[in-house]
Amino acid sequence: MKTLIKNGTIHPVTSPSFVGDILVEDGKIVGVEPGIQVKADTLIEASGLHVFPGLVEEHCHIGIHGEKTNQVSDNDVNEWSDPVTPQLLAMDGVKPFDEGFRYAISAGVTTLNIFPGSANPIGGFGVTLKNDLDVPYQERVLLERSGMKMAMGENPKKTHQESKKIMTRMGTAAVIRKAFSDAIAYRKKKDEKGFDPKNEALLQVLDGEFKAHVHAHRADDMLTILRIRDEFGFQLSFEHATESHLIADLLAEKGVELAVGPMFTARYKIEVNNRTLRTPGILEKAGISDISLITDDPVIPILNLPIQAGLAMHHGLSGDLALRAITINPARNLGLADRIGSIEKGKDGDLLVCDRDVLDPTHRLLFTLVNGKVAFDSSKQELVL
Amino acid sequence: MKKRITNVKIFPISSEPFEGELLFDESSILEVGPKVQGTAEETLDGKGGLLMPGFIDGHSHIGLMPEGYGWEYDDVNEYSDPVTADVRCMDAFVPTDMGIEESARGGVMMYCVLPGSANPVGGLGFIAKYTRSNLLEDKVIRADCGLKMATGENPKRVYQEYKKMPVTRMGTAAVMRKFFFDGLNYMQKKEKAEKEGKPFSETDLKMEVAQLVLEKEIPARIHCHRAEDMLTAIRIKKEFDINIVIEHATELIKVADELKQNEIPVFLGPYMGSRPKVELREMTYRTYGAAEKAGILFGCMSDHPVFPAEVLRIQAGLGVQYGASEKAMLESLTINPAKILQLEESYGTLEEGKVPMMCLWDGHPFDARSRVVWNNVDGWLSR
Repeated sequence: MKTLIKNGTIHPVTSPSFVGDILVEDGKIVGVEPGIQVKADTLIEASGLHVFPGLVEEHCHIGIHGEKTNQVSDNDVNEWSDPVTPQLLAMDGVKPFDEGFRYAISAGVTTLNIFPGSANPIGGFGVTLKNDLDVPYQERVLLERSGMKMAMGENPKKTHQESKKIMTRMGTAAVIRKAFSDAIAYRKKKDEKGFDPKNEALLQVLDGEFKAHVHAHRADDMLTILRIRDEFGFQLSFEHATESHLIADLLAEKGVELAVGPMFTARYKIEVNNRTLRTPGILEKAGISDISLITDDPVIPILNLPIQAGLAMHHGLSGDLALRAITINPARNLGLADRIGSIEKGKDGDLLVCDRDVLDPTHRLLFTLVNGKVAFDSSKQELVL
Repeated sequence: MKKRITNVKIFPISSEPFEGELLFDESSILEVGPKVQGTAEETLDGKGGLLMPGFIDGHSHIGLMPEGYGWEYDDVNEYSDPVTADVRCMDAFVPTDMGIEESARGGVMMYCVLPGSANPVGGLGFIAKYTRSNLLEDKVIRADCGLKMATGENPKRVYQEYKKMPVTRMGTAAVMRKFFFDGLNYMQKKEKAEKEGKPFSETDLKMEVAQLVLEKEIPARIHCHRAEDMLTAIRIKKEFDINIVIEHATELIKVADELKQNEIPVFLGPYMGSRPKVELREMTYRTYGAAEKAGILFGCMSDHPVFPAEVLRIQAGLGVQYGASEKAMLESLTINPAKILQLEESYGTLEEGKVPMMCLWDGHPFDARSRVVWNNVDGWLSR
């Protein structure tokens, strides 16, 4: 199956933009250059239009939250029965037929990383899905375990204070330290005790097999988990990082990855009081380039992924990094940069065709291609969003 | 005593219906054909009725919450703990439940009684037969025939009240996996003790049941309404290499291919109620036809008393109205549940050598106006 996009302004992200053609064969990009002459099964004439790689959402709860019904019975985000649940898989909570996936495809999001929520200091593994609604769930899965979701700050306190398991930030830190130190002890006596899924999951994080993706809004929470990381030596990616601009120099020195957002919510809880759309720009000026932007859908709807990047640009982020932050950076953060996140030969045929720059909030998305197949066509599916 | 039934249209299920006779004694069907050769001590004139195997209801709670009582007799869900593999339905079964005789009037002569769906790991079911005797041992065909498990809304709803795992679908899957991992650890310990010639002193009744499932002695009977819950059940089946049967399978249409590929048998129903839960949103009688089309082995079940087994036959008829063949729906009440419950050597068809369990109908059972006029347990029945 061949798909050809002709005469578009191509934005590969990892190299300068140019006018030319893209050929996708059997799901993979096989040509990115001007003047490709081939008989294709699907031809998209893109002169005057812009072509971008499919967007990558590093942090959302689509499918696990339950779009439309919004009922507890349909909501599988937070297993708040226990503060330490590393054995959980978001894959078991995702409802693959959820409407949210259709909204995402009509917003140009072709890869989604779905995390458990932030009720638990150690919450469970995320799952990364290719947003290809034509194939069965198991074939959409890019990563069955994308990384270990963890959480600092208000949410664990709020969730577990009723059952008196965690009352303070000190408590959250202690719960995390105890879990990791128990896992180390478990390793020594595993033969005698037998396989334990909880400790096995924690050991995978300690052994560097999976990153810890830690929900932290406030700067003090970020510093706490950095201390814990240095004590135990696991890999760390920050989620939300709302006050990261207050400690930008320190973060630049530490060299951590940041998934920033959502940045246009109300200040609905104390820990987001200092949230600002200036954060990514300030981080960039401090020399940090490993920034992804996230919507945390349903916190803000996923269609805001490119719009948020555009607003961050308005508030000081460079256009180059704004685009990277919703494509190649989240792809790298997830360990999938060899497959997705830019338009290059050999990568997946995940492409957007827009009438103008995707970072311009007035842009209109005309086509979304996933694995070379037209997954969204605005002329046919206008009413999705 | 040998008996002969004459002047009936026989539905052997294993082959096309025909006008004929059937010779049987207490323990087996001796002859079936247009004319039987053997002699009988008694001849019954079927008056042109339809002779069919007694129906098998593969998923029922009959006897566990006898009708007309309140909580005192409600023993379906042992919701004190998410893992109750060691509870057995036989210990709660009330043989005088009025539903049992009523079901027989609707042609149901065998039922698999399972615990409810409150717990991710619920307990052991058993298979019983319709008899005049109220002694459990006379009724039971097979004790501990499968381990009930449950996904979806019910475990979440029950355990969020106790602030216990599971409160999400992720939690339910984790509870199930933990149960099987614990089972594997337990088996290892047992094996080690045996190798070293030491006595094994840590007998655990829940783990004994995990072992039965892990060694494929019995299947896991997993309650799933939604498509994703079925996919989770299939993943767990593969991870631990166990046999499973999916119960309800309300959203089967979305994952029919996956069910077929993995050769998962299903019990479909009850679809005659309303949709009080999110997970029942997509409930439709079309599911039967879709299962037939996909080539999935399926039984039609009542979930009695959620939906009375007496009218199980009407649900099967609605399956025909919505696209399944009459043949497939008759099989879903007879040979298919017999196959899924591994009883097909003795039950599910009217063939020589099988155990007699049959009803004579005065009209087609999918027609609400028809009734059972005779069965081999009660004899002739008055209106």
